[in-house]
Amino acid sequence: MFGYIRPFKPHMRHYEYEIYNSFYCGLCKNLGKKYGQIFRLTLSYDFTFLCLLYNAYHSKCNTVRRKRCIVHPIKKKNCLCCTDNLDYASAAAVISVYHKICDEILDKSFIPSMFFRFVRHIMKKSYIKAAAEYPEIASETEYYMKVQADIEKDKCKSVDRACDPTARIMSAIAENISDNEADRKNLAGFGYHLGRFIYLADAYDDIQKDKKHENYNPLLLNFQNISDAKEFAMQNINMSLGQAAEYYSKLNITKFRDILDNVVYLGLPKFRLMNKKELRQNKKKIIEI
Amino acid sequence: MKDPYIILGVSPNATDEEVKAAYRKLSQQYHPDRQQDSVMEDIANEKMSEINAAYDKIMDMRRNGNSQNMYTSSNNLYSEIRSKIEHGNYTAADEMLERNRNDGNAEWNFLKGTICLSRGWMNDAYSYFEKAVRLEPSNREYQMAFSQLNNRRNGQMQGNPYANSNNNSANTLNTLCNICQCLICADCLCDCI
Repeated sequence: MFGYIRPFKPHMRHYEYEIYNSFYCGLCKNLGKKYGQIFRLTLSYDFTFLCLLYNAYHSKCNTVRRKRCIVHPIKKKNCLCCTDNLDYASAAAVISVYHKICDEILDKSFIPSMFFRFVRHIMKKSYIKAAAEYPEIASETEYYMKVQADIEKDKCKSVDRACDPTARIMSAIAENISDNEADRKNLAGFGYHLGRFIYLADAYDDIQKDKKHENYNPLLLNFQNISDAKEFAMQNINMSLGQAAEYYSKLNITKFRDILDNVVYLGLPKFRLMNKKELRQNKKKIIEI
Repeated sequence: MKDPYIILGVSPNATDEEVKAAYRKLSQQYHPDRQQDSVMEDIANEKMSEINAAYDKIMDMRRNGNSQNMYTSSNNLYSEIRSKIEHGNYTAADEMLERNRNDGNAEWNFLKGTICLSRGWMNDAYSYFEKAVRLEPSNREYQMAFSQLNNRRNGQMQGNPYANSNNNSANTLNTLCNICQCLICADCLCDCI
């Protein structure tokens, strides 16, 4: 479910890539320092994007230092060091991941869920800490995860209804970035359609697996044929991206605009190219000339 | 803004002459020079600007020929729903639509689609707009909403800085087609003259 909001690297300038990476590494370190090392494993591109968006609004200090880490023990990496502008994305990541784990536990039977129960136990303390800092995000996420579970239980046929909870969670996370009323409205709309995109893209990628295991997938309930379902999903994804772009173009930001543009206009529509499985099957090249 | 017909106190079906007469009568009545004290003058000034705006709006709408679908739209229910949507009161508008579900005409579908769009339920919005256009193909308003959504469905994104570089070849083909089209049209016109 995570990792769909990523930049399209071949189209990035070198310095933009460096900035992006310094946010990625900074977020990773901040997660480890503030919420415990286990959360560093859950780091995803989505929250790096959120971090950039947050910093486009609140640019306090952007000190970049070169640091080592466990994954890159030899080569030093650029790493954003100010914690206060990484906190928002870190807390949002912790809250989302925790609820995702809770959702996994509900999906699985008792013995396979043991691992997730253990993980949840470790994460609980950090979650409480993050939730205390941003209660509005935590309460929205908790509520809509429950709605999501109900929708899955009912085997709801409407695609729009199935997307709604995920979209609303993302909407709440994006909305709270700014305090300005007009910006909040556009951010909420942008977040909503990003969330809708994530849900649909995930359903699109899992369609084969879900058919085999007979899992809930709103696309399969509407179409018998997988290729029809995929076409329908792509049309819906495009509509959501178009809507997201409309809200995004109204956002009042100049900082990091090029990087954000890259993610919104290239990274999101090309999500299929990033899918390794599809890449391998079709032997496609990433760059189309 | 309030319904301009209510401000002028005429029915939406009134002729242009009747609207003009009503405007003249009201503007004489509220003319600031006719008021006795300054408090009354302020109120009169406010009222006058309201009357002027309403009169301009009605005349504008009639000149553009779309008065039919803005306020006089067959019944008052839809104009009320439209004003609710304009003010962002989607829940109330949706409730009113649901109560009249068996109407099912083009405007009902269009308004329902608009509400779905504002909520982000794109798939439902698409099917409602599609139905509205099918029921009333000549309506420009429905056509525009539907074609915008259709463009997005085919991958158009607003404000895309990369849009032109990606499908250059398609664009040149398009412009070439346009040139041919223009030439043929011009040719036809020359024949007529």
